[in-house]
Amino acid sequence: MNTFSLKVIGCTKIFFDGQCESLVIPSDDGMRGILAGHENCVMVVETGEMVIKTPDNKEIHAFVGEGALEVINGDVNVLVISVERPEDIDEVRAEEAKERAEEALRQHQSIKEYYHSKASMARAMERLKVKKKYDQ
Amino acid sequence: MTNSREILGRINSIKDTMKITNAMYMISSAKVKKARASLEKTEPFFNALESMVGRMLKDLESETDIKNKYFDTRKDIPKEDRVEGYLLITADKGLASSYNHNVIKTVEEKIQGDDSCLLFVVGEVGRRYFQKRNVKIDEMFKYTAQNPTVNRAREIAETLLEYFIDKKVDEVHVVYTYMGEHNIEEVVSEKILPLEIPKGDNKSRQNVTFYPDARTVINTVVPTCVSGFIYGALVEAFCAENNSRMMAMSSATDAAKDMIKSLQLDYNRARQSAITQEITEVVSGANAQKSSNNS
Repeated sequence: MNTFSLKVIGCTKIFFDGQCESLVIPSDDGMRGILAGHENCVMVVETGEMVIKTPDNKEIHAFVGEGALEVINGDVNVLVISVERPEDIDEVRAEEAKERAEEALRQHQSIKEYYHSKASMARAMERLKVKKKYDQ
Repeated sequence: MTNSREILGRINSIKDTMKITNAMYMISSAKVKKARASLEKTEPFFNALESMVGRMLKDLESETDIKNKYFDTRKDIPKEDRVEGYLLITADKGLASSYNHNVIKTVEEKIQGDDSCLLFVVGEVGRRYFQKRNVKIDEMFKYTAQNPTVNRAREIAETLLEYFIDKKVDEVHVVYTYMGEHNIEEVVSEKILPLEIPKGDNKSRQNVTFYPDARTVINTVVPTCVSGFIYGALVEAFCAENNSRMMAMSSATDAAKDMIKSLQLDYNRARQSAITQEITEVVSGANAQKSSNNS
């Protein structure tokens, strides 16, 4: 299978830099897959679960935060605020964040605060989902 | 004898101060190491973000979607009515040589004779300084400059974007200290909002497709971009702050050492002259006794 070079860069680390066969990533309107020879594009990345398939037939699963993906001349760059492997996700912290967000949502809030709590809730839930699915 | 005792007292007090400056030196050098490490970790993200946004904006030029809320330059507002927002990053504490002063001075030069600006201050020193001088600052905006986190950067970015979109401010600048090559610190001011479309040649365009469409991409990427930029600025500033505190404390310790050295010399001299004087007194006393006995 054809491969393409992929770079996944998080805010505090380079998560992945190398060849890959396919990439599945959450976007604004659902999951999107990318294979070699994709046209040049820029795409929104949403909070969720990312899957990288490497040439040695391994699958790397990871949680990604908001960001963007771009394909330039066949090279794929993914830039996201946070990216974590299932084993690096702090379950307790995510659980706490979820509870905090739930509590905040029950109270009267401005629109900004509402979006903020909603976003933290989505992040926490996705983290927990990825953690529970792959790290047992 | 009082003189030498006074000198001894001064030496001891300088030694005590030196203990403090030395401890502060150790603490800030440990913090610098930590801040450097996180700076190195964010740099690839920062650079990639910048080049990606640059490429993206070039492609947008052709699209009609650039009438986006983030690109709104608000040309219809006359210059004197424009509200300029400044996000400035200072330290929470002083004793960092000219670090705080430099940032404050840069901002003051920019807002001179302009009453319609609004300051967002990170760090206690800058906040207190501008509060005293009756400059309009956002009171609710209270963030520490210590140990920057992605979450704090995201909150700051959300606040700034909200102010911009609600038209409470028409421009947003970030003023922070940048650690350049060879540890030379430099205050920089960058305009982050509204976004500017670079006027480049059309050749460099890649003809990319936007998924799902250009507007959604911009609306999602811009907040991420702004928080990423602010995180980078916070980390740079934190690193620079501790670096300048480390330098200030190491020169304070050196100065204390020099002072102790010269005071020690003075003390020895005073002690010696006291001894000499005493011996002279004893000898002359004994001589006087002898001569009176002889007569």
